[in-house]
Amino acid sequence: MAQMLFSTMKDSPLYKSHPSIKIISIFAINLIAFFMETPAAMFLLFLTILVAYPLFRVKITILKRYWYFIVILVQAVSVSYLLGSKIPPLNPGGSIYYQFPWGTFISQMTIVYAITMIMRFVSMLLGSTLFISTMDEKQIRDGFHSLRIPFSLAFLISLSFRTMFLFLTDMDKIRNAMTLRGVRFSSGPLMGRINAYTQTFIPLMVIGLRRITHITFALETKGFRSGKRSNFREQDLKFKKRHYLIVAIEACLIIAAYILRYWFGILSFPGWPFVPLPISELLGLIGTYASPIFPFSFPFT
Amino acid sequence: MTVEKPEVGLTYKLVTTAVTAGINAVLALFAIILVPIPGLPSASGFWIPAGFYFVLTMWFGVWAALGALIATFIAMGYFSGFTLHVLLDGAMGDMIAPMVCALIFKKVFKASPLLEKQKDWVAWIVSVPIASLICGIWVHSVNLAFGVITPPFWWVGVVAYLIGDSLAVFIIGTPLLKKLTSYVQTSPVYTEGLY
Repeated sequence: MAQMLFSTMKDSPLYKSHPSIKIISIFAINLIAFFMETPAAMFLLFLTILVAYPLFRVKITILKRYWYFIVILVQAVSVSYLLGSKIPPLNPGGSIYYQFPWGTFISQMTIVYAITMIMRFVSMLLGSTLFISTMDEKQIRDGFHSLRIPFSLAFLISLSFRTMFLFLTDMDKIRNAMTLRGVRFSSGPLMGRINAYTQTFIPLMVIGLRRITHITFALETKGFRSGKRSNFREQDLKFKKRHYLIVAIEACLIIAAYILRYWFGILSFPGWPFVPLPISELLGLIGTYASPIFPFSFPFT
Repeated sequence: MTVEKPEVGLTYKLVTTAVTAGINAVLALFAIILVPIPGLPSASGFWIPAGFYFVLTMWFGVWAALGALIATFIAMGYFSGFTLHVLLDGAMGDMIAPMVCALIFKKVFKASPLLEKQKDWVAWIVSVPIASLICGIWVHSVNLAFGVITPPFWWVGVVAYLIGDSLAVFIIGTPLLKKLTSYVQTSPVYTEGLY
């Protein structure tokens, strides 16, 4: 897990690029993927991200570490859409493969939509990984700060990533120590294993609490709140023309995706009845599903 | 003679938030991988970090809840994208849940996290499922509004959230609260209230 999250690709040209641009790009890819629904457009985005890996010299082999993440996504999306959607066939006379007793059905378009949704989530995962794998904690801090986010907040986000790594190391140490004392984590009855894991959380929490004090003292000693920062080179983080150009292109792509989806419907999926829901419709839908279980009536049904 | 606690600076609070976020982000990834829920991307049937952030919010108030927000945004973002949807959905939900729990526990029941009296236990047993239910409804209504789940899975999600969160908090959080509260109370960043 630690290797998966914190292996920075220092050979990639992206590593040396402006950290703010990388942060903006993460949000841009996710937003564009979120707005898109059409299978062809989604496939194009998915392909573009895949091509970007060798292009930016980010080892495509790192994707092997994500296979389990992708399996989880595929099962979640498949179950949700195959069992719980009512997407009509493209043509009025098109065939419905299977109708469930609770009213939902599987048509050809259900499968196409499920595959598209899988591509959306995998694109988001791979797109985010492309940029995160070329950043270290310092770049995360500098990237957010140069986007006019207060230094304290930028540092907080960077420290969160750093403590993830520290926490994994601590957890490993505690587990090894407990294994040496005869605790079994991977065998025995389920309750025994849950109990063994729960026991690791107590020393872990104690270490975490001590770490809060140590980090605070270290930061205060280094003058965290004094305002002067010796290792923070603000001049390197100034936006140049090319940076503004990249941001402008990304902004245009986001706006175009939004307009094509919501205004012209070119990027929206034909026949999908649930996106987007106005608030009144959403409350009505929740009320319909909730009213048989709650004894009182919902005012919005 | 009573000893007054020194005033806690912003650095202490920020570090508390960051450490809470770091711990919970990893646990959230573990939870999603170990106990996924069919039909719900980036959800888990046993939300391990809940056991931590509910307890941490009892000790450190809103600063720990803010850490839960960052943690969930990082962990869920990997699966569902770093979007407004994920921020409003799981991340906000995981910030609201421990705050609602702490509000009911501390303000309504006026109970102590030491769990010494019967009243404290009742407060704990009541406030956790209420907080989980409220946030389950919040999270899956956002999911529905964004079209991430289909309407029949709204209830699956709410019930899974209620069970997954409550179980994790009771199994992991209760021993932490019982065994460590007296130790944490010596820390300057421990808060009696909500912030």
